[in-house]
Amino acid sequence: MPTSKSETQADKVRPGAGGALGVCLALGLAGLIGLWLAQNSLTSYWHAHYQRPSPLAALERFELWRKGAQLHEQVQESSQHWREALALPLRSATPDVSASVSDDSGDDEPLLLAMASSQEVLPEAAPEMVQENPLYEPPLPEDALLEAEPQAEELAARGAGSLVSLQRQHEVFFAGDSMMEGVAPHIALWLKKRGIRSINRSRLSTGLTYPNAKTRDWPREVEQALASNARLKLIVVFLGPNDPWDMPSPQARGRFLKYASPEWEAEYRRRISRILDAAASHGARVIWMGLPPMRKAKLHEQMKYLDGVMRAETRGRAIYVPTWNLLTSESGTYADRVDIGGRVVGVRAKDGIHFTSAGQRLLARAVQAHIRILDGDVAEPPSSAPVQLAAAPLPKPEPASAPKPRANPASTPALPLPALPVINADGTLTLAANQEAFFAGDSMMQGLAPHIAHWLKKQGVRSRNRSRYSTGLTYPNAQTRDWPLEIEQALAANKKLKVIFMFVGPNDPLDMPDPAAQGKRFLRFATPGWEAEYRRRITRILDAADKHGARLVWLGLPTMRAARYEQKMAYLDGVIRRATEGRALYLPTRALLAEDDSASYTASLTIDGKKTIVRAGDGIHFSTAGQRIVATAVQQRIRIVPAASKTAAASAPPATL
Amino acid sequence: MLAISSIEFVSVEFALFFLLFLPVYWAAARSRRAQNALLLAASLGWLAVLNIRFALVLVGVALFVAFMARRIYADRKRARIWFTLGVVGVVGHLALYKYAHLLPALGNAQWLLPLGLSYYTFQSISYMHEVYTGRIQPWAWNEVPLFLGFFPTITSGPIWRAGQAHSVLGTHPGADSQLPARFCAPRRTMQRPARALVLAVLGVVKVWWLSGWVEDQCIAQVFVAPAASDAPGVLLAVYAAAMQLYLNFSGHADLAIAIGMLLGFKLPPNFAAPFWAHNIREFWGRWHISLSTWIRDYIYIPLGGSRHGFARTQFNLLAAMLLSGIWHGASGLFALWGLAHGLALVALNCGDKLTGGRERLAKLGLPGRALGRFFTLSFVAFTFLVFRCATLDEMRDVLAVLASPDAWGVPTASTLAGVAALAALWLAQPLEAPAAERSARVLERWPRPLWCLPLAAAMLLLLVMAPSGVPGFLYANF
Repeated sequence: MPTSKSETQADKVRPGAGGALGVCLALGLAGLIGLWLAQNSLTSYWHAHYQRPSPLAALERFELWRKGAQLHEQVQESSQHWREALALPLRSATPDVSASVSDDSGDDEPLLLAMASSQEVLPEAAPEMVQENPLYEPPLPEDALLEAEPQAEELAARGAGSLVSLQRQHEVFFAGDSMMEGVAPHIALWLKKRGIRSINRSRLSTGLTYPNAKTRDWPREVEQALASNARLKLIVVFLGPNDPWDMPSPQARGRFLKYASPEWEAEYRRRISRILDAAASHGARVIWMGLPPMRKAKLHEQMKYLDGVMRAETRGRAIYVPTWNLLTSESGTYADRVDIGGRVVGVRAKDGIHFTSAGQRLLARAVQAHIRILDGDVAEPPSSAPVQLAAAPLPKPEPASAPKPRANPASTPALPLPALPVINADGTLTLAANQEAFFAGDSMMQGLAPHIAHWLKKQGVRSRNRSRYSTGLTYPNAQTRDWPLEIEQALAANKKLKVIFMFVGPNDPLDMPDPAAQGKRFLRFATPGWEAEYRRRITRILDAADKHGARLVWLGLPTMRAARYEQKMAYLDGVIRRATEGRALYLPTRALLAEDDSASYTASLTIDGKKTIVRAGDGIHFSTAGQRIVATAVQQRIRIVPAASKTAAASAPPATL
Repeated sequence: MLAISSIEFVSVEFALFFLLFLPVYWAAARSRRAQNALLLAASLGWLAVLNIRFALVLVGVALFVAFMARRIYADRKRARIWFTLGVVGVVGHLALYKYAHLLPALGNAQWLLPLGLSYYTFQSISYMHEVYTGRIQPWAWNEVPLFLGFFPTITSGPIWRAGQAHSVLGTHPGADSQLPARFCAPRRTMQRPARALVLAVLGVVKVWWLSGWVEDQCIAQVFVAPAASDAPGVLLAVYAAAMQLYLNFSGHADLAIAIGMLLGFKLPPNFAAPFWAHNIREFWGRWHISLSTWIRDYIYIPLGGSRHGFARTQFNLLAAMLLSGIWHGASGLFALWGLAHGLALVALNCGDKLTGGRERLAKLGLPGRALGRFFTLSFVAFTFLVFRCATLDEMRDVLAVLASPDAWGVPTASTLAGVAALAALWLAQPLEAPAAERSARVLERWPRPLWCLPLAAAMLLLLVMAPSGVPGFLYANF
């Protein structure tokens, strides 16, 4: 403990301002020695921050001066060994797959889609509202950036699509600056829960303009990582805010390339390209994260330009994940807070550059949406060709042999899948009691699901209800539900999930942005183009179920009171029925709640001589009694067998619908 | 435009400035007035280069304070009114910046907090109070802005008093005896330059190397996604975050004090091995001393201190700690933090009353003191989570890992290495000051120009060891 006593004594030992000269001399000399030793670091600092040749450059012709840098390097090299000994292995580099992390600790929130569109949550589509719905206008912000080529085009060009398939033995590498330092751990955790290791080398103040041998020279870093680790199959890159500077010309020493000049852009693209080439030559994929808007106007413009450069250079060579529209206000500008599923959440840090934890998670999910994790060692992506139920996937009815689980990419040798739920000849579905169910749909399903879930629970089948009002297939919403994605993720995360109850449509009779035209053009409702796109989305859900050996129970749409709305629902019901034909258990509801065979809308039914209200006052939803009727109809189509007697289920004759 | 956004002591820019400023400053040693003019020019210059508004706000506040102090002094009959007006003025001004975004009426504007505003608001109150109590006379017009904007203290403290201040480290003289250029004031002299240089090196080592190392190795990855770490790793990170805050903050304080000494000033101490405190009362006597004594002298004691019975004392304590919490951050979390510390102090006082005397645990000998230290440090570390977690949810995520039995396992090698490193840093804490003193005494026997050799050696060591990039001052937001 210092005491003021000792200080005062010592003060008396050496008083006088005369000593100041000596001190200034000592400090000046030490400063000169410091400059001499650290000249290289200072030169690069000077370049990076003041974009001018360093004032020390003039001294470089003297050999004695250069000796300082050499001395520094020598000490640096000779101390390499014990410096490394002092550095602990970074946590993220050694994720312990076996470490127990409770699986629902981080992802309680709805899983979000990669490209969150900036549209609002759809109102419940009452027929009157449909025409007035603002979504009839193109909802996307008129931003120059968004005019660049769409994801879908790139997707088609690549064939491989915007998904990276990873297997258990694969690893992921994170490169980037302090933005990535915040985002990477979230993705790493998500990957870790799915058994994938990752290496996070992101580091503040790094970028591509000023590669620094001591911190990170990203192209070299990525090249080395790929060369030394054959398991690296995905590189995720997120950087840029440290880059809007003039950079020293690699050709002419002392000359600077002006930021955003053609030469600058060429050099910058060359560096991006080096990373992409390195990945390509090692068979790894790259997810390149675009840049978000920034609070400061100047930085905002700089990032907008840089985002365009990155997007252009990665076109067709990497999965470009735009972040621009993820974190913007409704008007497409920078926003501290955004509306996520009706809750306004702060997404940006105080500095207007970095992100809050919620913002980081939002970005992490955008990346995660592009990653598909294959459970087994099967290398090829699952076939998306429709599988006829009657033909292929069920166990062959070989009378004597024990039933084998379906050979399916989702199965691993170590963990045999529970038998696939069987769709029986009589249009029922047999489910084993240890299998689980999932409810997807809008507010109609929200009313219905609890009835079915309760019934399932009594028979030992667990279920998860993710249905949510105002959702559908026309406007997948990253902030609420994107059903194809949601279902893919639910199936990937839970192998016991074997049946999905689906009820969507009432929010869907709307024009939708054409994914093949960057959302600039709209597909009009009920046109062939619209129908093809809608069916594609249904197919995506069916494919996901096939891939994981799950079954869909798809509820048809009921009659509606308003005539024009009813017309739309009748059309949509037909689309759903045709799209699910032979691939799911389609359950019509039109006749269920009708008084006679005419299947026209009625608010009440006479049941056991008693008039019972079955529809809600809006002419769309069900009353509780109506919900029970539909639920019962669903339940009648489900047979639950004890988990042990899978045999009985599987040996049933294969279904034809 | 500079590449740094505050007066970063550990930066090329500041180093170059100071190396050039120091000889000029001492060349003017014959005149305190000239030295003060140089200091004021440098201080305002720094602020203006960083952001012209910083300088304008400082000058505005300083002129207001100088005017109020003169009124207090001249108008003794209404001194109380002038003093109250002055305090309300500066506190209101601070609140406007810190809490404006909470008021919808002001459009939830988030204004850029002028550099050092919190610190110089405290200093303003101390100055006006000293004039009000008649302990000092008003200073010259140019000396108030110098006192408030003094470049060594403006970013990271310590909070300088106008008059004397008492702490566990003794009595500190205050600015009145050092700063004003009075008629008969003696020449300024460098305060033990050898010790100043040792302190400066210690500060740079803490700020640049150690705090960066602890952040990189034990903390950075954990708080972003706590669920990704195992419980031992999270526990280590909680203690490491407290250590890192200490290293960063006390390193800045060491540097500020060292720079002050080289300029001929004695700045108040800010830390005294706080993690060795064996109860929370002692902790607050050793952590951010210049703030906690300020709160004691300007909030707790005016509220009545311990003069109105046991219950009122506890209320005063709670109120003072709550205010301190609210000052630290506008979020409810910081209010909770202040409240938690207040409650801990109250609990300690109640315990003392029940057991019939202070420091009973410590008097039980080494095991008692060890137990006290462990509990104090743990309480401090866990409450410091407010500096890391922006919301209660984030904090819950951290605690959830610790509460989950599944997350507990054998610590990894890197966790164990981190524990060893933290233990070493903890053991070194009370040795810092004596070691600095001993080194200074050795240095004082050398001819001064030769001091450049150990300085250069320290610089080489840092260049090799320290991570690139200097972490910013963590407390700067407050």
